[in-house]
Amino acid sequence: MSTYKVIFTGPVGAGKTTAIASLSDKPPISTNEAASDMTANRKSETTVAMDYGILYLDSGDALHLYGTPGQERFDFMWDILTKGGLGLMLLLDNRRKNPFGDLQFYLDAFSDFIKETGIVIGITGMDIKPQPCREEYCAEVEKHGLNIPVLEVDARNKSDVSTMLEALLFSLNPT
Amino acid sequence: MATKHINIAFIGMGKKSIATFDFFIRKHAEKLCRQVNIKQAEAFIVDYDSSNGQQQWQQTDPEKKIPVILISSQQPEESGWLWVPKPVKGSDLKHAIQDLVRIRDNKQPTHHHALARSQKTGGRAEKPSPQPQDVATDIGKIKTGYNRSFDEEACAGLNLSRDEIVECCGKLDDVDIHDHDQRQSIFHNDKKTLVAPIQAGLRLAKRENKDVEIDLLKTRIILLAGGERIQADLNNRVIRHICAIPLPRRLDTTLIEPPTIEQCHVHKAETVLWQVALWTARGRLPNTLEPEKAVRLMRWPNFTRLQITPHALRIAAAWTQKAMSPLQIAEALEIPQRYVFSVASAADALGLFTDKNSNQHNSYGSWKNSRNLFSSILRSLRNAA
Ligand SMILES: Nc1nc2c(ncn2[C@@H]2O[C@H](COP(=O)(O)OP(=O)(O)O)[C@@H](O)[C@H]2O)c(=O)[nH]1
Ligand SMILES: [Mg+2]
Repeated sequence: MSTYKVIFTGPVGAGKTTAIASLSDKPPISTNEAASDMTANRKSETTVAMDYGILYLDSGDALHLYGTPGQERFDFMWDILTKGGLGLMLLLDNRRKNPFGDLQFYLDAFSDFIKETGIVIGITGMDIKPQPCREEYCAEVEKHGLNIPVLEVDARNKSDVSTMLEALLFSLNPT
Repeated sequence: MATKHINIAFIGMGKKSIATFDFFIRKHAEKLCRQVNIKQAEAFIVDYDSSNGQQQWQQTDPEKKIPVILISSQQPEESGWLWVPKPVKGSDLKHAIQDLVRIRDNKQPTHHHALARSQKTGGRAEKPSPQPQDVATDIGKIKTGYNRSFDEEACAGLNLSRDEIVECCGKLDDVDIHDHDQRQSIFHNDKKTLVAPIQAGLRLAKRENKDVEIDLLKTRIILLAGGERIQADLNNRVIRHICAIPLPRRLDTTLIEPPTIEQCHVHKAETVLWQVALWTARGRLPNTLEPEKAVRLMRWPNFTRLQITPHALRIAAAWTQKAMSPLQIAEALEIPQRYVFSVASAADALGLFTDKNSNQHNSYGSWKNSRNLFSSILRSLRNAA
């Protein structure tokens, strides 16, 4: 059985926990399961503060969904968390003060990972605060020379999150 | 290395952060250090950005005798301490802890007092940190080839029934483009449809910043000032119905003074236009698009708010990466031409095509062979939907 993983990141409140819960086949947890998975050959179980969910595949494999941990955007261990990841699901919260600053920060912080894999951006909270609009995000992203999926997402809506993940996978390989 | 591990305490961090650091230590620096409480600590790791980090450090060790690693986004002004920039990289942190051990043992630290993030390990021979073995890292290794009908899969999980898919994307078989009659069969004349008046009306509503009405006999369509939203009782069924009937004449668009309309739904203009274009095209191309001409999608359509047709996301993915003709897309993705023509019609209605190629590093050749894995993930997503 192979395991694969996708990383969810974004500022606090952007909807990482909710998005992972929307997709996960098991009630998502932020602790022991994730630790025992990542430390499969260890006896003692560690408690790790990160979001974790799992999607079982009909091939018998599993897709692990990890959210970057931490209370604020300056976080740590992202390089370890992303290792072996298929790609990045970046959630940005339109309700925040400076969402383009957040965008810039996460594109920079994950630049190596993004280059090696792929990224999709989901903008949440647009039902509450519609401005800036999606097109403005696209324009920001284009300044980075990227033409990547930028989607309006409500993290509570499973079909939105699912479409976001599909867009990520297809942008990795459309064929 | 037969060195004794160093006892470390964390300062200025919440439970979550400490748990993450502790996890890192257990996994990647078990031989180097242990987490202990502040009293037993031989060294500290301080979150220098947190409000109480600096304060607590000062209180715990006013004379600053105990070695520390400062973690912060900007290099601290105070010098003489090990510094690891945020976001913390595992390798930087590990090097810094190795230096703490050397400082404790009265040796020179090898990694300098400020660890620039870009800095590689110095002269010391060192094993790379162990990597998680449980996660397949190379999707290129995944077997290629697939043998089930992708078409079947492409239709699953859509909010359209099989009949609706046929209604929306037509039944047109792939054509031999060199055969004149067959070539003609793939076009529809977009001048006689609802697409053009909506586009013109939205431009007018934007330019004049006034509401615009399209006179459609029974259905009133108001394009709201600004050209971003449309007010009308347009559910999918109504749209399909309107689009299925050839319009007797070109529709007029008229500027109107608000408020003129009773309560009815406001839709995103984009969503309506996309929908109308799809149901008008029914798997054909507008005669303004050439099947052999290479174009590229300037932007991804906002698929969470637009009707998704079979293969639409794959088509968009391929079409944002490289300029290709509609026929080439169908060939590259091995899908029926009508599905490509559908997406092409809708994307064209939204003005998303350009004929300039992209300078993105992503290219055709680098698409990895992970189709099996991806189809399996997609099935899981859609079955559960
Ligand atoms: N109104 C609205 N709320 C959302 C949206 N996405 C997520 N939320 C809510 O935002 C809150 C924060 O989400 P959470 O998943 O905890 O964010 P996290 O900090 O990134 O893990 C939760 O109450 C969600 O239900 C959205 O698009 N609109
Ligand atoms: Mg959370």
